[in-house]
Amino acid sequence: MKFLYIFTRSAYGNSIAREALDMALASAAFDQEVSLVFAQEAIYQLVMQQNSANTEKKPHLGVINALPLYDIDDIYYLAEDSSTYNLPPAALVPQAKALSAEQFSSLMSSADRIQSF
Amino acid sequence: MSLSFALLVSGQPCTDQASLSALRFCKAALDSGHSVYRVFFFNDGVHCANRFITPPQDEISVPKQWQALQQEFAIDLVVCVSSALRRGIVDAKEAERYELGGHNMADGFTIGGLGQWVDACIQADRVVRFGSNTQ
Repeated sequence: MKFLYIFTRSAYGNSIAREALDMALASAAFDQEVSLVFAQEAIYQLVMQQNSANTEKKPHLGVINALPLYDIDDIYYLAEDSSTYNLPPAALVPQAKALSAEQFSSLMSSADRIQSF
Repeated sequence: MSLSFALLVSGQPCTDQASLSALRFCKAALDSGHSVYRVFFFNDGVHCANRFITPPQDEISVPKQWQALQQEFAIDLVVCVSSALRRGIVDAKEAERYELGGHNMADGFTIGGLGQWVDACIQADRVVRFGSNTQ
């Protein structure tokens, strides 16, 4: 089954970012086809240069970089957010790909289960 | 047509309307002849299972309402173990394992893993989440 997760929160401000990502990992561990879209502020979760030391939280990038190990290869951000938040592709982890609004829309149409956090 | 629902509750009962909306949705679905495959309490939603929640007498107790619904319809109320332990919601077994000296999970709820939510998403006809994104 195709599971699409749409995240909208940044990495460290709210526990839902990490816990929802764990849910996505669990879906992949149960052999579901998982796609992730890091929309709006969630694009910050994909920033390559992260320093979580002052937040006293585990580095978020550890999970982001582990996604391919769970066979999660469809990792996206929105091209529009990339310019809104001034985060060019080079600032983001290389496994994430840009989606146009049309591509996002067709990704949603093809998903069996959509959950947003 | 009768549908089965998987409900995800991620809002905590005192500050967020979400858990009450979930309760009302659940009741309405069951009263209309639909079924609820599972209710999964996740993130701050796990507070719905805290039996120590004691609102003033003229206010609704969310945990008691879920319990009543569980007793009437035997619905599966599962509390996410990792969300729950982080927030201090424990059953007798977890309390013993972590030597916590007490437990607060209400009867009628069970502790489970995210796999049970994934299973619910696969088995149910519809997946509905209750919880604001703004907390």
